[in-house]
Amino acid sequence: MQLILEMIVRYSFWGMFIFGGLLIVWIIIVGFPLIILTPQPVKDYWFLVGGTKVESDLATGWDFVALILRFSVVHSVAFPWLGKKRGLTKIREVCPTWFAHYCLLFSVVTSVLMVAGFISTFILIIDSYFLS
Amino acid sequence: MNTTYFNSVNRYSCLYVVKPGDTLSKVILKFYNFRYGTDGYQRAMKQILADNPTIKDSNVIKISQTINLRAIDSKETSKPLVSAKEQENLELTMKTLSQPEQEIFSLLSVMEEYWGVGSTGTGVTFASMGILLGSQDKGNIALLKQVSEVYQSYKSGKLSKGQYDYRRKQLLEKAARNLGPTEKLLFKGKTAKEAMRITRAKGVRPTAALHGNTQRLSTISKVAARGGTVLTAVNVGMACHQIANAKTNAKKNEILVETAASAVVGVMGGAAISFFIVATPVGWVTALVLGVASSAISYVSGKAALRYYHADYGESDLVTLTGVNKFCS
Repeated sequence: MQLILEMIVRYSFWGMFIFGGLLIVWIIIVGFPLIILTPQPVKDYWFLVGGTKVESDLATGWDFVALILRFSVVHSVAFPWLGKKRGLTKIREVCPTWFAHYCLLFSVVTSVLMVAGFISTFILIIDSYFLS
Repeated sequence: MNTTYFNSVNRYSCLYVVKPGDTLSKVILKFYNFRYGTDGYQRAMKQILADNPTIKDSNVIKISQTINLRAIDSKETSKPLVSAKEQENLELTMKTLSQPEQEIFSLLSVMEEYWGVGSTGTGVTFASMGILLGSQDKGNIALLKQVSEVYQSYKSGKLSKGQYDYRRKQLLEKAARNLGPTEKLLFKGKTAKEAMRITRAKGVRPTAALHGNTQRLSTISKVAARGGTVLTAVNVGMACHQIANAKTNAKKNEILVETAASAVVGVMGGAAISFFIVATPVGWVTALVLGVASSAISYVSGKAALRYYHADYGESDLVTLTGVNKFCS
């Protein structure tokens, strides 16, 4: 049992770096072109129907605020059901099919890497602060 | 140099930002404790001029200019503290901030200094605050600014008392809705309606409270939105510099592990926030809470990774293995 736990923690240590590193690479290589390629009608729809004027104004440029909001648009296209509360379930109607597929691929891989990275991180934190 | 005097005022303790009224003599006295005319003063002046080729005349330094400071007679490093681009970005940011804003920027930097390289993910928190508030021209702060403009219209007779009351109520309710539960936090325990009132006291401008509150929130927002990005970039640069100057290989590895863990978890936090913003229309509050949580987790994970590295991989030379040693030389 002890050995299994040690192995899990060891994998978590490397997992945090590997999943986090892959996430950064994935965002740079696939995510950045995606937010540049986001069609204007999609952005207009997102901010008019589900967003606010504030969000629309802030979603320009490349700082953290803008990036977080611009990736939110991409995730809405990938998972329209996720934007139910914002009334964005029909967002795919205003975007080309290729873009929807591209967004889906990006968001699925992002979620997987993010969840795997967080799981590894929490195992490491729990081991470091509570078990060791 | 006496390190007591070379204090860590902020994250840029070695990259000092010139304030109004500063002279090189004052900077030398503040950081090195050498008075004008002493030998130490001459040595400090000579070193500062050598390290900062942008200072052509020792009697002329500009507000918001950044000055590289290092221990007197310490070995000159081949690599600057931060890259020229980062230094230029920092100067540009500082120039756009007013003096009180610059002070707040420095105060925020204290946290970075305290948390060290483990706070690379702090940028996400600042970004969340920037989203929450907006700026003078857009977002919730613009709404608050309009309250003062509506009052001026009322005073000049363009609006009746009823129209003024109605518009004021509309604006403040909208701001309160946008700010959600953070409203009281941002208005020091009051609601926007209570805080944004016309001042009746004699000798005080009627719009003093409106102006003061708008200005204060605008300051927090600007620093948050710009500061998050700048601080993170500088933080990574600082970590690289620390790796290059660490005395032992073990220390280099520690800095690398802590910074890398903090940075990757910070990015994961940012990714999580982008999903949450889609999922909930009250994304402001969620984003802020997640931002703070992400920053804290980023810090804790940096420390946890370091502890685990010490325990199990203390002998591994990750700096050389990953090539960071060459990159940050």
